[in-house]
Amino acid sequence: MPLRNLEKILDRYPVVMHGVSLAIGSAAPLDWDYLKKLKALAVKTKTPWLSDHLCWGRLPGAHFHDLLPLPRRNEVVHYVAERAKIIQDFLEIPFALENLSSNAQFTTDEMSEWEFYTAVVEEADISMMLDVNNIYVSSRNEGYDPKDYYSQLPLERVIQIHLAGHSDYGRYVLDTHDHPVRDEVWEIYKEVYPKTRGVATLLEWDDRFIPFAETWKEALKAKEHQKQITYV
Amino acid sequence: MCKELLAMQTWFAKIITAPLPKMDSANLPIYPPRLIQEIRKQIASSPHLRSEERMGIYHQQYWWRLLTAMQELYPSLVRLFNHEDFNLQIAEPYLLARPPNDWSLSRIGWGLPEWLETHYLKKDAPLILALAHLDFAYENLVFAEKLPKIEPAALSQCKRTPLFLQPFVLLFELEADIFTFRTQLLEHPPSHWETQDLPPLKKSSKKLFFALSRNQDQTLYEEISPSYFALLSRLQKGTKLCDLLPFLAPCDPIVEWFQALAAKGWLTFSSDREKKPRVRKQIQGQKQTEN
Repeated sequence: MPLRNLEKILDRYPVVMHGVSLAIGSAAPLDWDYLKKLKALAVKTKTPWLSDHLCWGRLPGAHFHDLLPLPRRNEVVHYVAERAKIIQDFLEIPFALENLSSNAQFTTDEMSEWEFYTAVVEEADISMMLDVNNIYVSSRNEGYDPKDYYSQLPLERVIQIHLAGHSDYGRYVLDTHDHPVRDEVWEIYKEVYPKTRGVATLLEWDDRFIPFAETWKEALKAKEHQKQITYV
Repeated sequence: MCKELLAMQTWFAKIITAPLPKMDSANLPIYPPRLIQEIRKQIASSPHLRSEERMGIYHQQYWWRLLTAMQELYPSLVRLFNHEDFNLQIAEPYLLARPPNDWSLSRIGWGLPEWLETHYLKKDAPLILALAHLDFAYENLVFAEKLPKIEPAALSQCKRTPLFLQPFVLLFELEADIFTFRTQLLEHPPSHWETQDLPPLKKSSKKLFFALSRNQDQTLYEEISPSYFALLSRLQKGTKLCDLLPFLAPCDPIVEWFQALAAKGWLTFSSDREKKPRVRKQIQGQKQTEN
């Protein structure tokens, strides 16, 4: 998006920044040019926090434009957590990492996806950008009960919830952000939301667009589900 | 740690950036046995997918994402070739030669016109190259900076100060009206041109000159005279009014030109322009007669 269009949006609405290009777990030095631009934009937008994904996606001289999976190993936890601390210190605003929609595990993994995610955010002492659709997608692809995932997360660290639609190919599911949120994902949302102290919810929709009115209606479903939640 | 992680990520990247092999019925890549063994050592299987199928999802997604981005950046080329041929003949060889190394997905195709100049050598190359430059220019203008403009009233005070054309104005010298051709191409989806004749395109008997500019959020082109083109070309590099006088012909409506340029906000004092190609010299191919 050109800056002039962002400026028009900033005139009317608060903006929260969320990225896909940080590639924090990459075995490459942090991209300080990118981080400096990110910080300058964060100052301009006055974003209350900044988030990106717990993944890798670049190597020296190459960018893969995807959110690629990390081996869930203790050394990787330390490596990513250290970088997350540096990034948060540099940005001078709260930094959050989002859970991936996983399509692969490594044979050398030492822990589950939720254990890995928890270990990174706790060691780095950063926030969680929790994507509940990604919990569902990972659980389908890896074959576990999504409750195993979200019931073991430190949900008090969640700074925002992401919702999205996915594409179901039968034997696997892809997080495509181009469908309405599925009922199974709303069920997870209803379980997770009350335990987050009512953080903001964001509907992600970035392909096969539908009219704005319908998108807005889909986003407002979150409010309807929130009303049905019984707080304990 | 970083060494081990680097080895794993290098291995992973080598697989997903390789050209996609033949796909199975689930649209996942079919790998040779030796690679399957290699993948199984690294990637665990799931209840529904084998290790190589799980890796294949990332491989497929890498290419689909990049090819889709290239198609969005070069919409007229997609219409000229159709999606499949654009991927095979243009986007995939380009991405293999110049894999992305920038964090912005929208910049992955910025090197395509330059790459085509040396790597696309078929008979229709002039037309393909001209359209690639135009598609790139339209994309470029979306992000081009708007520098502080010179008001018409201030023109008389800047005879000895260098003036510049704004970065949101690009100039083209063509041997056919490829702008109109491109506009007509974009009026229909790529599937339309798989069954219909392409719009007519005739080589002009003389060179044609165009200015492409962004006004608010609209990008517009206009055909301009050779002398006006020459003036704008000099302003692109930056020039003082007093240095222009000997260069202009007595019949050139210089006052009107400058008043109009200033009124449109096309003039600036700043030379802080991004280093991107601005003047394009192309000739026209005859693709429509080959189909």
